[in-house]
Amino acid sequence: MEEPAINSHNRYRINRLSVVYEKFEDEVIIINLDSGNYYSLDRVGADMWCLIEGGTAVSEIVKWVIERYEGSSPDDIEKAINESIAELEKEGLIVPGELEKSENGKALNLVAKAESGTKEAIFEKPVLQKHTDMQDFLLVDPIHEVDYTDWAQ
Amino acid sequence: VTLSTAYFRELYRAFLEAEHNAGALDRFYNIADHTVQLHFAGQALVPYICPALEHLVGERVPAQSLTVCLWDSASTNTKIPAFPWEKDNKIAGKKTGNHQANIDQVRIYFKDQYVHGVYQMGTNTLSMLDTTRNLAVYWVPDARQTHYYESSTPLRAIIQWWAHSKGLQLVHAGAVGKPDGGVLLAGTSGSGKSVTALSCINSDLLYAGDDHVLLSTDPIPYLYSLYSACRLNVADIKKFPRLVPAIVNPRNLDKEKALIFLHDFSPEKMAKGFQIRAVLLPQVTGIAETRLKKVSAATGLKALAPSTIFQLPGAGQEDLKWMAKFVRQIPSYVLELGEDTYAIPDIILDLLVKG
Repeated sequence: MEEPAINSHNRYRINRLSVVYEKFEDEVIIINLDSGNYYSLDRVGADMWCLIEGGTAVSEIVKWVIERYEGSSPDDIEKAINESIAELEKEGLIVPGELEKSENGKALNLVAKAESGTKEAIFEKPVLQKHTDMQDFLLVDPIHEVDYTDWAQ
Repeated sequence: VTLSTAYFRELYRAFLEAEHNAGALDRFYNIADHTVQLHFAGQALVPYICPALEHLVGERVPAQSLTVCLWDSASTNTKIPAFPWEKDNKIAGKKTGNHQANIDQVRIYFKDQYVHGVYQMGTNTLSMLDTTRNLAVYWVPDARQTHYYESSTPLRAIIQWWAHSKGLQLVHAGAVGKPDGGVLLAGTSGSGKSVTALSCINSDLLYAGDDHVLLSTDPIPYLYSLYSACRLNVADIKKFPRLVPAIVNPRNLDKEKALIFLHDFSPEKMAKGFQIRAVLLPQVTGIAETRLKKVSAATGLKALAPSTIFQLPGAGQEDLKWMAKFVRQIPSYVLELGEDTYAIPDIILDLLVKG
């Protein structure tokens, strides 16, 4: 029997030390500056990303998706969300923990939308599309960066 | 004083010594409507830095927007001060990400509030900019060993840092167009930017670059040409037989792309800038017929942003936001490249007419 993905942490935040991202209406583009990989997440995945950005707990993300999407059982949705979060963590895009102070409140619009949400779409498991073509590019061009920002004397 | 600022002062003092030893030589360029002065100590670097900028030669003016002091140690007989990281033994064990990086692929980026610096180990170049004075220093150990990629897109890091202060963004992209509008060609190395751009030089379209260009979004999406260089894969040279005599590195094609300075070959084909009306993402497909396919702004950003950000030292969230704003202003298309490269200019011209 397949082991269900269990997230040992209930709250994650975006790994802002290594990750830059841009949100579009139904898609998020994410770049991992450390690994040279970049990603896109659409639909449920993009919603999930925005909720993580806002500091929403994993259990609340699951609840939000169950309320918003139909076509799958709550158990299946929970399993899918947990697996996706585990994948984001494995790729170094999110890290366990509370939001930094400066991040608080950034994604409240989506959370507010969730509270008034009506079911409007069929649930599909979030797919993290991973692009590794920059890896080859990085290996032929001399661009591995060591950053010494504010290097004090 | 941080190490970055302290080192910049030492480096500038060393430049003044090099200038004293070898004499000064000035060139002025008009980059994105700003005058940039290249202030060389001696002549050794001139043939390696200037050809790619020749289409932007401008008049000497009393006040410049940016002054770059360029020197090499070999020809000026002047030593560079010991690199600051050599004084810091913590650095030896510092990780460089998840890659199997060897020393050739490491760059050291350092900055404080005012000063940026990057040392590229592969090309052996040091670039620094003091943003408070718009004063930069570019150094190589020996001008004669300048990497051909540096000659094709010289001073990228310095221009990027300076451009930020002018609201401009340096991007990894090419461009072709007419004086009243053109297209940006985005994508990683090997996606077909150079072939697409060069396919247009026998048409009404002008060439504005195949690798790095400057963009503005204020008040309209606008492109400024930066480099007149084209770099072609050896396998693609046969598509452009007319350009063969213009290749400047014919003896090194076993290890380098073919380098051509288009301004030298055909100055009337160079554009200084134009409004950008669409982002095209060339893709080598192997299909017979070249065609356009509309895609989302997010797809446009995926082609433009990662390769730009990974190439530019210190680039990050701000650059991504900037490029996202840009791709939201205009449509993006995949340009599926077929066997019929001669059809490319008409497809682009047609797009520009139809909007």
